[in-house]
Amino acid sequence: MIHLEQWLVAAAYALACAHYLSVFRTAKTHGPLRSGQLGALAAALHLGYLCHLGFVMGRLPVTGVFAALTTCAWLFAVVYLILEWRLREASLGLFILPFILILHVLSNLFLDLDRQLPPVLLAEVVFEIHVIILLLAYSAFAISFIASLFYLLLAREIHQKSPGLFYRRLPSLAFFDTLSNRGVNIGLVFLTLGVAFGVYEGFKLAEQFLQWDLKYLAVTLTWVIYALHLLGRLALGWQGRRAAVISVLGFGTLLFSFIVVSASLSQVHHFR
Amino acid sequence: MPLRVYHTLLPADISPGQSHHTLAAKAEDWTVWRKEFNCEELLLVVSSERLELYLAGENSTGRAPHSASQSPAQEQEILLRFLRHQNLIAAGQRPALQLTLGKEAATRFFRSALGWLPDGRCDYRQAGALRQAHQQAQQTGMSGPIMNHLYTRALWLSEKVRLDSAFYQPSPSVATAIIEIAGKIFGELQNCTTLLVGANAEAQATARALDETQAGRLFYLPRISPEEEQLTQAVPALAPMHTANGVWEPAADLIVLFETSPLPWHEPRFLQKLMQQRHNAPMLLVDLASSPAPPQPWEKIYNLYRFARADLNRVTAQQAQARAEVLQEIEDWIAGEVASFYRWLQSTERFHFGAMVGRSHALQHVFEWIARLARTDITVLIQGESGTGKELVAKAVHEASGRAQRPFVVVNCGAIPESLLESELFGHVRGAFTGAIQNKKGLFEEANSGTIFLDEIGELPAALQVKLLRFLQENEIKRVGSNQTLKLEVRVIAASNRDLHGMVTAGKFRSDLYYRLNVVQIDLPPLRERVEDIALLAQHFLRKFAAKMRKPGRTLAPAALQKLQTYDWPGNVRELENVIERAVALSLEPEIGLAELPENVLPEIARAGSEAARASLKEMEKGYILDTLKYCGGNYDEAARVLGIGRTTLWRKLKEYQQNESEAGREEEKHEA
Repeated sequence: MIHLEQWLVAAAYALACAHYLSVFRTAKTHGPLRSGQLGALAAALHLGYLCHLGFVMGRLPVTGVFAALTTCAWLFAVVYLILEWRLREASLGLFILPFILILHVLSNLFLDLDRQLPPVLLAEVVFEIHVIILLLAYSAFAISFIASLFYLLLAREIHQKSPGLFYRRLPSLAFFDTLSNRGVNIGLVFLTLGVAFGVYEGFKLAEQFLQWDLKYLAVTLTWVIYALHLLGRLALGWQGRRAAVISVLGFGTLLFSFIVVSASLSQVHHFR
Repeated sequence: MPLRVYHTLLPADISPGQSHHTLAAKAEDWTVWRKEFNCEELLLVVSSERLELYLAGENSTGRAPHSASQSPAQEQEILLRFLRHQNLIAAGQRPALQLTLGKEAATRFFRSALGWLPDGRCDYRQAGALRQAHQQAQQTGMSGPIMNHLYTRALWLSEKVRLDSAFYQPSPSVATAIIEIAGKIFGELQNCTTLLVGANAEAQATARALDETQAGRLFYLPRISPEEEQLTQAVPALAPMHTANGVWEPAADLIVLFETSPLPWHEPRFLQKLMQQRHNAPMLLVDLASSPAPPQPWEKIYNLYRFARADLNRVTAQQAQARAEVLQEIEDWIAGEVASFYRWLQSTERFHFGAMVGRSHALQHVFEWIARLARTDITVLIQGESGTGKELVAKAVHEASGRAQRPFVVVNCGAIPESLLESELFGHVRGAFTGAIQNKKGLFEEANSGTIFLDEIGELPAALQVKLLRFLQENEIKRVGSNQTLKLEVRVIAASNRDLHGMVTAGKFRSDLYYRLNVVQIDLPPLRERVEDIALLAQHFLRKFAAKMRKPGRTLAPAALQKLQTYDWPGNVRELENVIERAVALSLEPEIGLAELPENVLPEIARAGSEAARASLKEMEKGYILDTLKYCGGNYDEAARVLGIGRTTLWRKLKEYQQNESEAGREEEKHEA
């Protein structure tokens, strides 16, 4: 049942992706449905699935890398749909929805419901808060990442003076710049908060968790890169291309820390 | 051809400056011009650039306008006379007027409504001319259902075009390309500071375009060009750029070079200095001065976007292509509108309104008035001869209004005895008079929140006229014998076949009530004045009664129709309805000829008319009996009762017919043998 649900959600996201793509290619928005509505439908299905998953697991589906991954995908979808609605600009969806789809499919493939967390972690609400806050931070960074990617694509087309599809469909460089910067600002706040909660919890369970770990290194690196992004903008007047490149870099590190480190390299910070 | 247009682009020596006022003042001549033009509706569109005269309508003789009697050349002459009469052109002037007919004329109408000029320019300001023309035509009664239909569709289309398409955006040029690229970089241009270097014609056009798009602050570099003065005159918002400590204040986001200047625009060091001044925020530099492109290839500077003329041309070309697509789309929309307009024009549906049927100009006007009045709760007075359908008008008003689901109460003031009328209309309380054994609601109360139709209002006794007036003014009634006033919300529609105005002057009808009722007056013309409706009405009734009497496929012979059209119709539509009902009942053949029409409809010629059309009494009797039998579904008792003869008589007659037929059959067989 739960497997049927998770693939149904994936199918809904895929449908929304296809709609975003067709709108992007033809610029015809006069259909019976808007892409955002399809996206919202998929997110609603996703919420249902998450509730069911939480019920099966007996707690919020943020424990375990792959349960967290699908929750992250959902949070991301919600954040994006709110943004789309507020900014009245749907061109980003073309890149963001496939990204959500990939996260969700990854979660579908590797989700293991039988694996349990150490009971000492399960007793703490702080742990769940820690994870959710970090997931929100990741969503904000992901938005920033995609906005930066669009920035670079559009800047390239303008530089080459060959107005192509991106040039015609996308809003302005200034729009992506602002969006990317906001993503970084919000993401940085949540990342700092999330790490603080993590450290607090680590101190409480000191004997087990406060060991040196690759995950900590990766997170610190991510934090430093995004802090640099903020600092560069505020102090050195970085804008446009440079800021976009750093945002992309930061997100690369983040992906590395989230998926690769968590799944294979990390010894201690592992949901075991 | 129901629609045609004469049009021309105005030469410089014709100035239609004050023409609109002249036109309105001379509205009373309209009936004369209508005859001259041989059309029903006329719309004169005059703008600063063009002149268009739309003529529409099947005219009252049923002859197509622009028929053989009037050649285009003759019509042109009338047209020129008309224009001279309207003081639009002077006596000697003869602008070359082009004539366009049919669908193309309708296309021109829609284009005109969009402000799409024949030379390809799209100007929203030009669209106003048609609006103004229509307003005037409405005031002077020159427009009619066809023009109004066209106009409402055109309004709808122009709103759609304005909201859903890029039709009114300026046509592609250097300026639009610059604005587009700047928009792609800076987003909204309100916060974008622009510096123009040079002041040639291109610079002036660009400055104007930037000013119109509300593109932030505009500066020019002083002492570069001899045309500087023209530039600042063209766009007063332009300010000279100041230099402070060797840098410009403020820093420009967009710099456009129109003419060569002593500044080293291609030197990286200079540009880098510029970029540093603005903390490396993105900047757009458009170079239109050096052509061909600068000798050394531009090296990349972080966040600096540079465009040469050739690059700009590529953007313009793309815009032109997009523009062509937009125009094509609009053309398709217009073609769709024109097609649906013609469908509407050719359908008979537009001759129906509620239960009313009519294609005559007069009745179409009535339909339109009903549509326009219905939504308001205004009091309507309907005047027309007996049988013209006054109640149908009232019913149509009621049904087209927001009260359609509410009661519609009909009161024939002439049919109720005077002594009862008051209690009928306003109700009474118990004991108000002998026999008033309980409270009774009046018809006004029954009609509350709906409509009351007061037919034969001229028959209303004087005392009740006062009470009705009181209701119309205060919306209050008192039941007979009661002191309590009741607040009601009833729409009043009154009708009379008598000349109420004459009654007022004769002192038989209260003048204050008359003026209170006569907020809007709808005059229903008698049937003899709208001959073109007779065929349509006859057709309508024919279908109605044929279905009712189960005689499908009945048609009217041309000769019979002609008789109907020449008849005087004192009883108007009601009489026509009865004539057709009778004819259908009598008819044996699918085609209804003169034989089935009553004597009084046929003038003396019919009596001397063709013998072939007349049947012998015996034949008539046979046909009628057989038909009645069919009508009664083969029920002998019923048929005998309807025919007013005994069952046995019927039986005997039927047997006789059978015998005759079999004899005739045998005779035919003999012949064939």
